[in-house]
Amino acid sequence: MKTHAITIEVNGIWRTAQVEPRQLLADVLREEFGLLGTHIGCGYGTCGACTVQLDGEPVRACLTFAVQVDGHRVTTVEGLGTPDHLHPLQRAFWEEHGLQCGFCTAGFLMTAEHFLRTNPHPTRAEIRQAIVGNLCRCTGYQFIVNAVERAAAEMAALPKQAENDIP
Amino acid sequence: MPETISSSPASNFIGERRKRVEDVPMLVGAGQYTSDLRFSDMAELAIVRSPHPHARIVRVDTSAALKVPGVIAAFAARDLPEILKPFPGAPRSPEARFVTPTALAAEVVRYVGEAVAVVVAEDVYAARDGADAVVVEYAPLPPVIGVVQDATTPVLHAGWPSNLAQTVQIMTGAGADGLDGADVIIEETLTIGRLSAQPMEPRAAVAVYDQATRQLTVYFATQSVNMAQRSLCALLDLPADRVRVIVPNIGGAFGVKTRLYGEETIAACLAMRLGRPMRWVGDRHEEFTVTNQARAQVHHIRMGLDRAGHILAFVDHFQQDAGAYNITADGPVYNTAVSVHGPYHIPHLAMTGDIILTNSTPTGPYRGAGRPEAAYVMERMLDRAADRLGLDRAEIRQRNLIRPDEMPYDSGIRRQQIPIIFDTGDYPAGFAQVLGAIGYAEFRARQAAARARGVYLGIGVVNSLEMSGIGVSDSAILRVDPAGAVWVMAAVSQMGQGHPTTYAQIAAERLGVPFERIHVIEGDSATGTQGPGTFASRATVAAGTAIARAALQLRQRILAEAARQLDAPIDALDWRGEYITVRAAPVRRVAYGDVAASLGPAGIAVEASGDGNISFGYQGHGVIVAVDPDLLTVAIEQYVIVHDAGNIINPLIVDGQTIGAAVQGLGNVLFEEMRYDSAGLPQATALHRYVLPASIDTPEYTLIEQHFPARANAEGFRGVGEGGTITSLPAIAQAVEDALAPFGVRLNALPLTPQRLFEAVRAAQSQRESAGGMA
Ligand code: FES
Ligand code: FES
Repeated sequence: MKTHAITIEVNGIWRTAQVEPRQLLADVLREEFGLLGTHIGCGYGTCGACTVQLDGEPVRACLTFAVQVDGHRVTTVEGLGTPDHLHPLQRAFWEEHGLQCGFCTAGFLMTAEHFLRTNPHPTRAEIRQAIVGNLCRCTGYQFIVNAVERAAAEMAALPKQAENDIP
Repeated sequence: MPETISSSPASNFIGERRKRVEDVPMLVGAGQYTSDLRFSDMAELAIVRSPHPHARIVRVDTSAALKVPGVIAAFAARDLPEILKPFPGAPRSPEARFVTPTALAAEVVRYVGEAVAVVVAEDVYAARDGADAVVVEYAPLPPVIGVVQDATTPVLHAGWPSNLAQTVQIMTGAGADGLDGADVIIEETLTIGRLSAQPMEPRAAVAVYDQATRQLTVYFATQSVNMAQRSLCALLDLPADRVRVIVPNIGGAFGVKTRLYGEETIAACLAMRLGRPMRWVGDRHEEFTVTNQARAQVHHIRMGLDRAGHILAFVDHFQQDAGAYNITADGPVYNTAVSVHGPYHIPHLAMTGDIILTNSTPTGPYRGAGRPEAAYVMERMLDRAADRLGLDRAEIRQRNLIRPDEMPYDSGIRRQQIPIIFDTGDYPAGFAQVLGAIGYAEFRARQAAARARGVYLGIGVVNSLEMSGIGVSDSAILRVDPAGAVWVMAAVSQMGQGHPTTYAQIAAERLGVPFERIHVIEGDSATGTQGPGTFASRATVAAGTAIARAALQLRQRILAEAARQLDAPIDALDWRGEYITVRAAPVRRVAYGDVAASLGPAGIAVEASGDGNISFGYQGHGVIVAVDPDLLTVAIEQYVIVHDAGNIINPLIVDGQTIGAAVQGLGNVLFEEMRYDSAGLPQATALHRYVLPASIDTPEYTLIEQHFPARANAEGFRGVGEGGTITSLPAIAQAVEDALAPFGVRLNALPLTPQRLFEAVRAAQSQRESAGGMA
């Protein structure tokens, strides 16, 4: 099958890959770039486990072809924080027990990060609405809502960042 | 009765609300699930599966697949004779008929999704292209659908007189004769639909064979690492020392990853045959058609009571649609039969459960494993009885609950000869807390006011028991190394319930070594620890008590060495944190780290067994729902859970387990059903057809704890992973029926989808109309 050279800015680094048109962004992130934090739960857009950000907006990496994002900026969970510098959302998920098996977690984090940028002071109902496209089979959501609520409070207390984006 | 553990060091790790040590890798995307494993030269597998519920395989032609670029090899069953043994397993009852499948079907397929061939390729796209190119010719056979069968129903397995595999029977008192003394007998048929567990991680397997050492290592998410290793050895004809099973991070399991499946075996066999690492990553469709399904029970019940609402006899003949093979034997059906009793006085009990095979995906344990069905039928029958006798639904429960002064209470039931005894608890107090917290006393006024506004509120209040600790006792090994780190090994796996944290809490508490120095190793058949695995709310009880006991023994060994160095008797020593001191002369002290360093290059290890005894924790739910009278959708307004988790190790994790389990129960009651059409084709094989609860479907749960340490094990632990699911089924069903009471509906079948509710409302309407017509 014919392949195409693509160049993507992934977590701040420009990377290239040679891909078939049918290759999904999720597969290219995982198999070509070794970014295994993006999980595939369903492969057809229903579970949200594969959520990444494309130019700052959440997208399903399983419904996006890699060739579509040529020249664009992709952020995955690996770009959100590191073990030594967890993002406030990651810290809050840890504190509030917002994950059990952890398979859904990256998708929730990438959805919630975008949501808190658009709505920094959400109600619990608004948080529930914001994560409705992400399925979690373990937690029952209550502690995920706690985590997003906590992160919102912590982020509101931080000094304003110049960029409205993931550091 | 096991000894009570005393002489503990002065720490309080057990009971501490502590965030989990294992979370950081998962938070930063470094969780290492099976599908994340990579080995050089690894090939990918795709499986060709049956689209027919029942068919003879006429021909499998893999030649076209071999022409697909990237495809390395393709195999049908006949090409892999080394794995054509049926899966190991054994029924518990000698008169049971028992049949397990082979990893690939050779002659007949018996459910949609059964594996027929496998394609090996350089990447997963090529593997799937190759699988699409495999030609399989089938001669369809008539499918067997549902448990209502007769002499004309085709028989699925050669040599069987019918599709009835086994009948499980449990009886106490006079059994069905107990109905003779009853003032009223209530008869009802209750149905619990077929479910699929749907963990977020689809199953996967990676197999690596080292030609030089002839060691096979298979990585996959199994809840039963030792059983999986033994099964693989048996299937592949390999000695135990050449097969190792390692469990990577598990993305949810809930019971369905207890058994060994075919794909792990295929990957292992091909890794050996082709000399390359093999990876199979299943997709969501396979999770719907191949992974064990569950529940699928129909109950025909007669319950006898006196006029005051006291239960005299409970007689239940039920059928389970087990699927095409009874691969997990009688597990869930047996559980239903022994669990129906619940927290009530039942003088006479007769449970008869038929395990019936059909052309559908095999069933097996899934969160609760027969106990949600049990709680559902008992509680719904109490609702029916209350309605018939004109009693309040809470009142009839209060009249039948076992009281604390009757404990330990022998139910009369024997579970594999082991008496089922309710050890400790205060069920009436728990139920009173449910009623208080949900506002039961005020509810009828609130309901009437809401109805005046066109809002249909309903309330559900139920009780159940969570049985935990079943199975043989486990062993655990604790090793202290010369650097003072402690390695805790156990034969269980964790799929999100926090063992690396809770087990370290137990070890820290009983040993006295700082929490940070303790590391938990599980999910590896090479640890040498014994135990059947993580299921049936048993891991914390069985492995946790083993860890506690080993920790106490290791403490004694470390103190003995310190005593030698300090030239003082052991009982004259204190050990707090980093130092071991002579109590009477604290200047005489030795650092724990120095003692560890003096234990020799290998350090020391101790192994101990835990307590596998059964205990029962109370759980009561109170729920208020609002049902939309037009759309017949259900919204949860308020939810209260009262539960007895015994001695709690980590309250944060217990709360998470309880809520997570309750939400699975909610999905089970309101949304989830694996439907098969009349041709035997599964109708809900995608997440948009099999609806899981989402964030907006679930309530904010209020959790209230009771603390009755279990007497069945030395630590007073109880399992907590399943009670939320078990108890949700009857609670929400009762509440929805109550909300729709003005329509006169009776809801007997789960799940309560809007369509089912619509049919129930319509049926009640036409019944009323015809009754009105006759009057
Ligand atoms: S994997 Fe992309 S939405 Fe499920
Ligand atoms: S934590 Fe397991 S699916 Fe969300």
